[in-house]
Amino acid sequence: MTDMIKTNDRTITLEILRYNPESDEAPTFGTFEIPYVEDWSLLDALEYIKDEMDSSLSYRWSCRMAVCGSCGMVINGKPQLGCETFLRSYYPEKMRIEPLANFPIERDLVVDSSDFIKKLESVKPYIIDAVDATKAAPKKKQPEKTSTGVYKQKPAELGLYKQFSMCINCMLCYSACPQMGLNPLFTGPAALALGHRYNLDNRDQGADERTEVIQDKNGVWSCTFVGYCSEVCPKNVDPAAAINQNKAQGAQDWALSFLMPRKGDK
Amino acid sequence: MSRRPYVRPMPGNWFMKHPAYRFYMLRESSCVFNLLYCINLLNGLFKLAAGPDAWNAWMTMQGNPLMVVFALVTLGLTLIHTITFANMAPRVAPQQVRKAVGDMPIRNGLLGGVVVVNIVIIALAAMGGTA
Ligand code: SF4
Repeated sequence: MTDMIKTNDRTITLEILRYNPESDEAPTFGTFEIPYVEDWSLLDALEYIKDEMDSSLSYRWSCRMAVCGSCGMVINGKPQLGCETFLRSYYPEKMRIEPLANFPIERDLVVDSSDFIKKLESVKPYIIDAVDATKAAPKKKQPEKTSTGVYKQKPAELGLYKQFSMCINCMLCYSACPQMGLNPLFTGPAALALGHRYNLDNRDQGADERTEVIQDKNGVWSCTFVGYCSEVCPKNVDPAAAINQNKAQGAQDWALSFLMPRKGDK
Repeated sequence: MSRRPYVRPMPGNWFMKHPAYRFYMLRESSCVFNLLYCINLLNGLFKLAAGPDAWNAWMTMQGNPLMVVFALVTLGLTLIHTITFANMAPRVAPQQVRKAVGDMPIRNGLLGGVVVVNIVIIALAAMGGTA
């Protein structure tokens, strides 16, 4: 790494929002001028700062290949993964790095994600079997089981929800969503997309159990289809589509409940 | 080591802070202009019922440069609304339908419908004008 650095004397400026809970009243920007290396990702640059300039810099990272979802941050105003953002896309302009918006800052670029985890759990993101479901009669046709006792799923049935199952919980969509900032109780894009993913799964019978959270006023109805969540999603989950499909479904169920009042009388 | 998470306030003008939010507000603002334009049209209908003098006064008002600008702005925003609506509609369709039909046919079907309706309205208006 040091060899590469010696070969050029070009530099790039990084402005990073710093916050030390022990000494700072509020976050302020710190400026770092670092060597410009063409193939460095922002994560490489942060690593350089931590190793060579300021060991107190705090940020989350793990896989370095857009799979773990740890290194989400706001880069020049756009929520992105640090590992797949490259200095060369910005050089010679400076880069401004902030922690994900709409989350409390724990320290520097590290945010408190505990609320996000609770929201993920609130949609019951697991297969609910008919036997476990509170409602006696399954609404959907039960898929066939194999001799080993697992449900069969055809490729087309997998294809129905696959897109919504690709989420890496990077929270970029929460940072992109202004409704999240206006209403912190909003369940949010990734969690609602995850609920939708299980509702679309032919092995699952738990849709009724998720309705309360999904159709709540802090559920899909807190969304105004700004749509920026889907634009920033690194895995093309399109959480905005998941949310708005549920609005259409919810509105239809609501209208049907007048025509067939007894349908909802379970 | 003590925890003291810092919550950043949401700026009151958040919708001006990002191109995506600005475009969202532009898209949504079309409803305000459409409402005002509908009121204008409704007013025209009442003036038509009130007799030729009232109707002619209303027609003259439509030619006022300010009203022309208002009509053009409404038209522009309505076009933005129409196109963004058609682009977003397939994503709201049930996932089963999307997978079966595909996004483009839904989008193009909607836009095609808009074009057909407009042709019919303009044709009716033209026929009405010559009758
Ligand atoms: S939906 Fe996309 S942006 Fe949101 S947490 Fe999942 S992978 Fe990240």
